Amino acid sequence: MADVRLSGVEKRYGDTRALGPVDLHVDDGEFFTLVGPSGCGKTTTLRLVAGFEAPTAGEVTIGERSMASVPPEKRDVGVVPQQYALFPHMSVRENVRYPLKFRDPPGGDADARVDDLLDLVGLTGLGDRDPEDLSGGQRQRVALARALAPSPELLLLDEPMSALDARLRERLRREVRRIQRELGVTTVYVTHDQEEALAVSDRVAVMNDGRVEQVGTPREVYDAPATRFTAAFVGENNLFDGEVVERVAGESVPAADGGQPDSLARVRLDRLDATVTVTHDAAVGAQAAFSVRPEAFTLAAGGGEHGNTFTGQVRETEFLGTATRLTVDCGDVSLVVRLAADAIPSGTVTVEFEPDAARPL
Amino acid sequence: MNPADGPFDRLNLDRERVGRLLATLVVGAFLTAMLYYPVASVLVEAVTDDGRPTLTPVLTVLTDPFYTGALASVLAAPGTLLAGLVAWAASGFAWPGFGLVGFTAWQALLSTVASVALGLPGAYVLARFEFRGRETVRSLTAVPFVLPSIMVAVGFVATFGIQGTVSDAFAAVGLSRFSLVFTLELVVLAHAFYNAPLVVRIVSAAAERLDTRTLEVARASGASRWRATWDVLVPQLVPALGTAALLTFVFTFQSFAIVLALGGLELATVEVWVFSLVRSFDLQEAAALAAVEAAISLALTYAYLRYEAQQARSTSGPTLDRIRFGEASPLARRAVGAYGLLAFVVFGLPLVSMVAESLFGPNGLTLRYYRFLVEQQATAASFQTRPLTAVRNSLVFGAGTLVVAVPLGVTVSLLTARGGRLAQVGGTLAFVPFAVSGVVVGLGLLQSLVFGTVVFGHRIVVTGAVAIVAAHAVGAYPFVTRSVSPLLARLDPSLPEVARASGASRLRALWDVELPLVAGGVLAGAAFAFAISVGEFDATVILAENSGSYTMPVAVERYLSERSLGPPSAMGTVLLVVTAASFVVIDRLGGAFDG
Repeated sequence: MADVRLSGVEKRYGDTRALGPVDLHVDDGEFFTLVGPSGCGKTTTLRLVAGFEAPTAGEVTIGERSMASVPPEKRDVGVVPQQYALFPHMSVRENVRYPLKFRDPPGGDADARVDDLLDLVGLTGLGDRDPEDLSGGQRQRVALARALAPSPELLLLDEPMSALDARLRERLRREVRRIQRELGVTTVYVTHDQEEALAVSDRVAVMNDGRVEQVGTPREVYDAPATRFTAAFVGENNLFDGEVVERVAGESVPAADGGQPDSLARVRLDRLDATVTVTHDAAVGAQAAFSVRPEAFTLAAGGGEHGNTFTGQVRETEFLGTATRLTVDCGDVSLVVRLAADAIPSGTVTVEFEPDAARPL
Repeated sequence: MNPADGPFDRLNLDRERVGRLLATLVVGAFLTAMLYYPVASVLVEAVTDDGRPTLTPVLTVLTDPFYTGALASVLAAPGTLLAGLVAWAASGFAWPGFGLVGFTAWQALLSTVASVALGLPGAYVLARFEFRGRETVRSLTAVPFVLPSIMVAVGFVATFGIQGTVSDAFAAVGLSRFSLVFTLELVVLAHAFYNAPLVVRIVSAAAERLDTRTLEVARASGASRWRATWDVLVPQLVPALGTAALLTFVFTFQSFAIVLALGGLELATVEVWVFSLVRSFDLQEAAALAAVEAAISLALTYAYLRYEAQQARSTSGPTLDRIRFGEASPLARRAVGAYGLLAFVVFGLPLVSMVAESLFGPNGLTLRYYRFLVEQQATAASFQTRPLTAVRNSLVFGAGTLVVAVPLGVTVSLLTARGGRLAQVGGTLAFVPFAVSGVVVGLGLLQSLVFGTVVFGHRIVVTGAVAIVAAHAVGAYPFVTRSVSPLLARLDPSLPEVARASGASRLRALWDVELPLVAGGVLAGAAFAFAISVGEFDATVILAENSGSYTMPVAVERYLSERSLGPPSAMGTVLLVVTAASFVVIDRLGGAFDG
């Protein structure tokens, strides 16, 4: 097993910069996900790690070994590409066995290894089938088994679920996660689906426009988006451009980083007045952006302590099963609010949020 | 980075690029030696005199009324254009005549019109009706690509000659015998035999790609059925028709064997005249005329490529429904039946007649023409054409062509299939064999390789046989490339990548994954290459002149001039069998991974 490090990695095609510079570190045994919209550079990053492309600048190391000028076949990685790329002229067994032509299997017996892997991915007895006779989900499992056959130190998955329907996708991602835990193989996973990323990963790197916006655990990325992009991309969010109007005297909360305590301030969020937590040095007149999760809103019991109450007209109501999603027009500003499923207000509604629910960006 | 990893490891990562570069150089060297240099040497001959650049040879051709007719005086003195036009109008717009070049273009135009006229109904039938054998008919439209032109000429003589099937039929009912040989009509008809299937193929394919939703929208907008067809469907088919017509014109402008055999020097085209100039060793005038022809052909081919590139790619959506032939209106069925009969006369009868001629002597059924093919003819003088030698040469050259053209074509596919600038250049250069006539290639190889070329102080001379294989290979390799490239381009690029991540080197991945998956295309390409080699006439007839390297098509042409149809028909039938077998292989394997 091994860790992966990207230091100042850049990829340019002619004058266009596709990626970077990017610095990332994937720990040994970690399930690490690159997530972002299409064209953000996540697949390019994966291809640089696999060795299918060479970085224009910077360096990739796997297990402390520099990968500069190491071709893919010398990298000891297993790859599951987007459409699986099963060899159509080989049976399932031959597909899984193919890497064992070049690398010794753990245990030394290639046939036994192939059987073990087919068991592991739940394809026992399907070894003699042709790939084209398998369902999408089964193909995906064959691709996974093939990638894992030589017990690589690193597993790379490029949108492995994108060709599957939603329900199967959820089931398979749990299975991939189970197998990864069982083997403890360092895994880099690429997806455009932020929900999938949050569900399976130990840590997530949110990418946008060739750069890493934020790296953290799913919780950190969701609860404390560091950038406007992350806030908008991961989950749903209300984004506000704010201006500090007035410090609220006497009240302070301990800073997250243990430094000087944050304090409360009156802030004008777009055209809404609210009391939110700001850093201790945020002066009156300073610009700051904030995000508020839809689920941070509650129906106002009336007269909230800090006055973060907003009254508006319900424009849209969507029933989502576990919750109800409302679009509330408060003057010129639209709020997206998520309430318990049984709360289905209409007409005029008043909602509120706690001061620390607004995350500064 | 460890400094010891230095340049060698950098090289290691770039090994694929180095490999591609080497492959490109090898391919380039081969094509330069076999095609570009020989052709260039012909063209240079046209613009130099004793090593000094001059336009005299080309200008001599252009201003000779024999070649350019009414244009000659205009080209010689452009100022007379207006006066010429006035005189022309005064003469009541009499057909002015444009010399050999003009006649070549004229017969190409007539052939194009005939091909379109004969092909469009076929395209309509294929696109509109569902009937048994429809797929077979569609496959058969690809046959002309592999049928040797000289064999087709034999078929047409066997059908429309004085001893031909049609003449026999006339005689049987008391009418007088007649011959269409050495008439423009027969040349045009033979060209239609070749190119009408092309029209059918291109236009029906376009018709089947039509997205009928456009038709539905037009109907919903208020257009009547005919109006909607005219407004929406026809404009979508015009580009395909244009493509087919342009290709037909290019092909028939360069036509050689058919014109030589069916038209003779009376109806000579530029290509035939170049050949006759080479035969009389007037090489400079031949080169000048060839240069003029090549310029016209290249311009036409370029126009074709530009035009084709503009065409919209296939759409996805519901396509035109075909009606069962049995359910068509009686009128439509009768019209299709009449067309089928005409199609049989043009496409089927020549082949049937040729086979029949080869089997029937003056005294009924006989195999003597086939025995003639395998007799050693020990008594024959050396200048005579021995049939068995021709058969043997054809097979040897065919095998040689496979050895050169298949690796060459596959390599070009590998280098170009993934797109990029190299692919564009390669794709364009790969079209040169289509644009440059076989006679020019043959002449070039004769001058540069057979007569010898000095390279770095060494005089390089090859035998006619080697030059013939080279000529066949350059004509055949684009077909290999065209068979392999689509399969290669459709392969998931992740396949070789996964193989490499599994531990395979780039070459190993090529061997394990890519080549097995395009094997059908390689075999189809090989069959194409073999068929083209066996049927090639234009370059071979020049290179085989005064040597023992003649092939079956060359022998057929020589026998044909002897006025007895038995021997050429027998040999033509052998050619038909060989090329038909190749066609079956192509048809079965060419689309192996189409689904």
